[in-house]
Amino acid sequence: MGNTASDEDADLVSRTRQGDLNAFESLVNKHQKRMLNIAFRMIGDYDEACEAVQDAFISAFKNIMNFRGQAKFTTWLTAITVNHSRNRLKRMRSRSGHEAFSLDAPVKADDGEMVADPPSKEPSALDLLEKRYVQGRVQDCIKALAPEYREVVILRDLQDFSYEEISGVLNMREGTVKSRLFRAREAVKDCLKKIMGEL
Amino acid sequence: MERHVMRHKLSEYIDGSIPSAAKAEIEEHLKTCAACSDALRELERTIEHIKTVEQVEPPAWMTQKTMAKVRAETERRRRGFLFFPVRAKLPIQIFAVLFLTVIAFYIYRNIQPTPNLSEAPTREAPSSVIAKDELGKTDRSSPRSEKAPQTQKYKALDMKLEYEKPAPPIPREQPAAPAQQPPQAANEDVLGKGAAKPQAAAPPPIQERAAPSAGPEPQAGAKSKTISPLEKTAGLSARTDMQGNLERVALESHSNGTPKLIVTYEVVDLRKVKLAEERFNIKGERHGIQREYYESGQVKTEAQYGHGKLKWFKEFSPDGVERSGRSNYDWFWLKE
Repeated sequence: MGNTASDEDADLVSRTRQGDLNAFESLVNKHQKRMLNIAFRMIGDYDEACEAVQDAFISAFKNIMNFRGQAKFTTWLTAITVNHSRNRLKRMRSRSGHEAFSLDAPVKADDGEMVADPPSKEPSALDLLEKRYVQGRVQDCIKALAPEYREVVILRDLQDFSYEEISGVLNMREGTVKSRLFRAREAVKDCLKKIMGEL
Repeated sequence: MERHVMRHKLSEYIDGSIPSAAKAEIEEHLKTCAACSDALRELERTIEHIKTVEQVEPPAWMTQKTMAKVRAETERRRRGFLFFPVRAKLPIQIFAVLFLTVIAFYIYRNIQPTPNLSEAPTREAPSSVIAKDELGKTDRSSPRSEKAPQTQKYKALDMKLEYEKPAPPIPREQPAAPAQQPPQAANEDVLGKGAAKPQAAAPPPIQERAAPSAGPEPQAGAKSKTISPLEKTAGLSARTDMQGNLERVALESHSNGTPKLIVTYEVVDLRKVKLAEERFNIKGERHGIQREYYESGQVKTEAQYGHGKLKWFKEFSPDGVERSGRSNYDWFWLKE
């Protein structure tokens, strides 16, 4: 895991600890996009993800004095964001009684219609449309993962965190990270093959 | 089994996080195993698809809104208690309420030191003691028979008349064979040189103010306020002589008949105005809180005696503010 000496945010963190709000604003500007994408892929709702990220930054600011620099600031902030996203996801599900996606359940398309379980035969005349279609299906398959598998895929394949960093963010051993990542990728692969026929 | 193990390792192989020896072994196996090669290709394609997912952009207002919340949090910390969470504030508030209640209770008790005193004479016999010692009577067996007739009611705090200092009492001979002759006690010299040393006038039972042994020479022409001896009648209202209008009432007494609490009233225009409270011990020594009142009911002077000796005193202006400076010891219970 990284340390403060190699942490490019160390200076901004130090200034924030001394009460410099401009330094913290720089940290917000620097990391909010990445945190938003993590939250958005975990929650699946843009507005809720924005709220989760704001809450995460507030928590980080409140607890910045407790950040001892044993990990990179990014890792620490990501862990906070993941926790807020988990909590928000739980609240959303308890509010709506929404069931988690099942890999075997039919997948809802962007236009609201249910996509047939067999491989889609929709022609992809335009590359852009095809790309959007594939992206939509991939998102659906990621969304269909159980949260603990979705997290490792998001962090590894979407945000390029190392195994070590993921281990720090999710507070689990690297072996567990590798195992979950393999299962998650296999699940996405199977999901995509169901939807798109072949990869 | 081997295939499963291979596929598990393929994920790490793609990420390049596998030891070089294991990597070489996998590559060797892939050359001969089409199934594993297909699995590797599908997994690589899956990861490529995952990586195609576009990043979303944060809204333009996000930084501003986040920082507004951060600043609000900073302000909340600065303001402190007002923005404490309820779980933190509640115990503090409960403690504050209890504290204020106790304080209010003590303040109330000090403001209304003897709330029933003024009414006592009207409700019940002003007790058994008045003038008994002064009169030298030995018969104390029927206190009820000594109940003072009350012809008017009054309120201690409903007073209008200005209090005039009572003139020194006319010197009198001691009543024959007083039952209790309290010893004279010297006061502490708490006032220094300039102040007169008051005698802790013992409470000759309900007589006049005192029968001091050491005091100014009694004035021959005592004024109307001078307390005259208690009437030697069954009535205990102990009125003064015709000129005076002071009434001393022993509201409590000790077991030996010595007055414990004597309240002095001024009767003017059918009103009773409480002028003073005096307390004594069983020996007849001045003991406990002594008070002198303005006509408004406010405490004028308050002093603590212990066995005839002055412990401390306070003097108050008519609006209740404690006076500074030294007392002239012109106190009701020391006037002679």
